[in-house]
Amino acid sequence: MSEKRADWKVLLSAASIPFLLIILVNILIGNPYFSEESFKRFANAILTAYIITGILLMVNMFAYAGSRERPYAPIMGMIIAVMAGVGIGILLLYNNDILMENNGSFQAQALYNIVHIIASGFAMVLAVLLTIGSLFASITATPTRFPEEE
Amino acid sequence: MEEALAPLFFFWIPLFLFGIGVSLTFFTKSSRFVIPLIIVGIIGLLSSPITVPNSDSSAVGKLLLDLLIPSTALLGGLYIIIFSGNVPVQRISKTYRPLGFLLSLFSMTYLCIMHWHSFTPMWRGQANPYWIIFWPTFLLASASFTALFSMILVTIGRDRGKNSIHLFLISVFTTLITLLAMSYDGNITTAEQFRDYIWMAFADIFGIIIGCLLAIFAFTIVIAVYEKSMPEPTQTSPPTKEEWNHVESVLSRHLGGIEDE
Repeated sequence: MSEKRADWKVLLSAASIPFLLIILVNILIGNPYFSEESFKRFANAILTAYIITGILLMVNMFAYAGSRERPYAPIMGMIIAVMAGVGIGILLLYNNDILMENNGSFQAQALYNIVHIIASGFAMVLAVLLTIGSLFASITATPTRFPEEE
Repeated sequence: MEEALAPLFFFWIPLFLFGIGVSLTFFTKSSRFVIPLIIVGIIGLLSSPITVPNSDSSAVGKLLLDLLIPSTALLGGLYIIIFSGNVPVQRISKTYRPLGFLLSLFSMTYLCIMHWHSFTPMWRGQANPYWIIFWPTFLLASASFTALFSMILVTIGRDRGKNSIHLFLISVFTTLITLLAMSYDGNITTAEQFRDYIWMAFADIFGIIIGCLLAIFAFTIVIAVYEKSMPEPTQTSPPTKEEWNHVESVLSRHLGGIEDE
């Protein structure tokens, strides 16, 4: 029996088609620049997502430690990984304005990043739920391939 | 002093509790502590426009409150469609299926009305600053994720062409809404503002995905390094002749049996 395999290049190009189409229209309409503000947003999004996901995974590390007689090393490793992200963020925000958006201080920018990621994260979570929901809605609408269990 | 502490108690602590609740769901089977934490967090966030109206952060609480109706309708509609279909468990009567479609359609129409006509999320007399972040991000992410899953169904699934087309049509639909929002002014925001925020939405989506992947990569490395440092497990000696004989006798007692009629 032949097994179908996912070609990542094909999948990624499929995911990027709507992006590319919208970028193309945006450029044709007259908005050709990925501005400095967008770059700052990109960098802030990476750092904030890294730190928040890192903290979530760090909490999960306690579950992993529970199955390994509670070693400190992996928990400390994860704390260091998160602290590295926080450190890079602080360095970039304090020493120059690479990451500073329209906020007056480092604290204001840090809090804005968290609040911003709630809005964009909620949008992405809702998009994922729409996609998975539509996928299953479509699959369950087709007749079942297996005899039904009574 | 009290005014400075209010956002801490009514916005940031509920947000923290919500985050802790979500993290705990990954590794605890008991929902006795987790669900109350999440509920308290959500109530705190949603009520922040009332409890701390002077805090700028409360704008996101107001946005979530404004999006409560369309997002609940969307998820509820999809739930009804899924469980009124061919599922072996927890099936809902097929008569509710049109209601599911109506709710999903209503939610998307409601979001479009929020952008072009009325009910636009507001904050201090202006368009909510987080609405213009949410809307393009949601549209772009939906268009991209549905296109990705449409292709996954074609490449991995067997006889899933029809399902793939359904997802592709949703991708086209959300792309069209994005293009329309780029071309026509909204109720409060202009098409030009929307086009500017398209770049911001790209930055947000890619930034969040890359940031999450980097954190997962760091997590994987930490575990891999620790597991590598663990001593090799002690080797056990192979079974003796007596042990093999015992296994053979146990197996022979349990194999065979009576043929089905």
